[in-house]
Amino acid sequence: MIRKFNYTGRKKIERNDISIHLVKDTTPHPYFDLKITASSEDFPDDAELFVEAYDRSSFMRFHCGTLKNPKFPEDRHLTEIHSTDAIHFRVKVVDPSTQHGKILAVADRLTSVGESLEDTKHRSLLPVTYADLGKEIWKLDFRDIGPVLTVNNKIEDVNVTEIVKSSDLFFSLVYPSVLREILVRILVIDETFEEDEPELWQNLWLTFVESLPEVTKITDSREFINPDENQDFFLKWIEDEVIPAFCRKYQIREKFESEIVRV
Amino acid sequence: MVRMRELNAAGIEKFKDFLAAMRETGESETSLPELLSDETYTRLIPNKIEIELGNFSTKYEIAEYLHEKVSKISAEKRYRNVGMWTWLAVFFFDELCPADTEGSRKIGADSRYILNGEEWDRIFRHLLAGPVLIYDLHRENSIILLYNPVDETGDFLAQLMGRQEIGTNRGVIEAARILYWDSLKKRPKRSSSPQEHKPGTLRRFVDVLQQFDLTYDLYSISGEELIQLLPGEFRLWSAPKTK
Repeated sequence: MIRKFNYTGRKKIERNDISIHLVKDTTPHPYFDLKITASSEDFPDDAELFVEAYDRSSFMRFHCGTLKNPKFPEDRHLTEIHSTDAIHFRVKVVDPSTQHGKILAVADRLTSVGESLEDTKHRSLLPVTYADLGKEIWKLDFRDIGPVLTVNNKIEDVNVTEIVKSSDLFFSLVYPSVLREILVRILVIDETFEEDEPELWQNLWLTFVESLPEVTKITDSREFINPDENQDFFLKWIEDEVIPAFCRKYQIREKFESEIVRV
Repeated sequence: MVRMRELNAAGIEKFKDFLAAMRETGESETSLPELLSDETYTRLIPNKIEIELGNFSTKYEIAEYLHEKVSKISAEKRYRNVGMWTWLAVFFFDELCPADTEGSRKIGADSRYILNGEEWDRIFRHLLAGPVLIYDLHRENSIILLYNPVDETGDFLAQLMGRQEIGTNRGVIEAARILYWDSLKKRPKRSSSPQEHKPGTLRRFVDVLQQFDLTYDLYSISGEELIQLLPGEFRLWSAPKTK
């Protein structure tokens, strides 16, 4: 995989230092709440904090005081963001003393769709959108921000949103395949990404699967350095280790069995 | 003048069938002029907006015209009304899918005419909603993106709007307009967007922006300021023409 050098000395803000919650109220647009616990010690006192919300076609920017003393605007409604289900955030720390606003630190591709931190963590890896997919039920769409699960919202007499949220049958039939497709995309089809960028969706997914019990850490392997020569190795790792481990951890067969008897 | 309407779900399906039939056989039993006002498939939108056909030679012209019309609709609903944008595509179908000299039409993907209301990052595929949104974002600077005929997608649009951090940045699009737009000829400057990444040209501009994005807070920079930051290879394009 590709190594990337940080020539500008730009610092990273760790994801764990930021939590973003989207809150719905009576207005047509949600607003965001953000907590940042990153240390301001390494930054100038006047280093400015910006929060940017975006989707593919729209963008909003909020000046939030300084990193040392954040002051969030009272109105944080995302009135200009078109998407309701795939909003992303970027948090920037900017040096105001330079003419063109040098970025001192950044955290990008942050996601939040829930009103609680649990929701945020649970869904940040795989946003879900809904669309007319014709005769298909679901598909994975690989965008700049990573994979997005799109589910057909034109299935008659079915509350698709509810099924995605809470159906064990849906989870057991769809998510192992989703995981397999994502890993094949990362390791076999695309092959290259910047392994030193922990916020990149490829790294987030690999971190996730390597945290599953009994899964070998592939990013430490020799094969990882030359992915194009080791596709069979990766496919075997996915099939023999990752998918079974995922199914064990999330009790996929039990989920299927418990719900199929009601069908 | 015609009161603007919106297609209902059945109307959208009917139009989808029309597109499929036209694609397959070159003809359809559905009459678009009749579909436009058929009460079974359409209804008036609450805002009393009237529109008319015109000679729109570019995306910019039709976007400017429609933007003024739809600006009467509240911002949160403007780009979400799938039925309205699809009805508009039916209304302007001769512009969006012109017939050739033999009367046949080259029908594109459904998403060019039927707005995908769920996946908002697909809005730019729609031949009317996309340009209007771009005009909404960038106003007169959007000319560099919208100079083509209504049914064509130009290189500047594809290269610049394909990347969120570039496409939504007003300063960046302003800089692209200053650098590459020939206001006398009303088209991009000659040789400004070759396929190769030649010094100072469009693809190099995108490369440099992606490098800058790691260092500078580009959303706080105006187009003029951004041009000052660009390396020397871009001076040729920003310099005023001399005889």
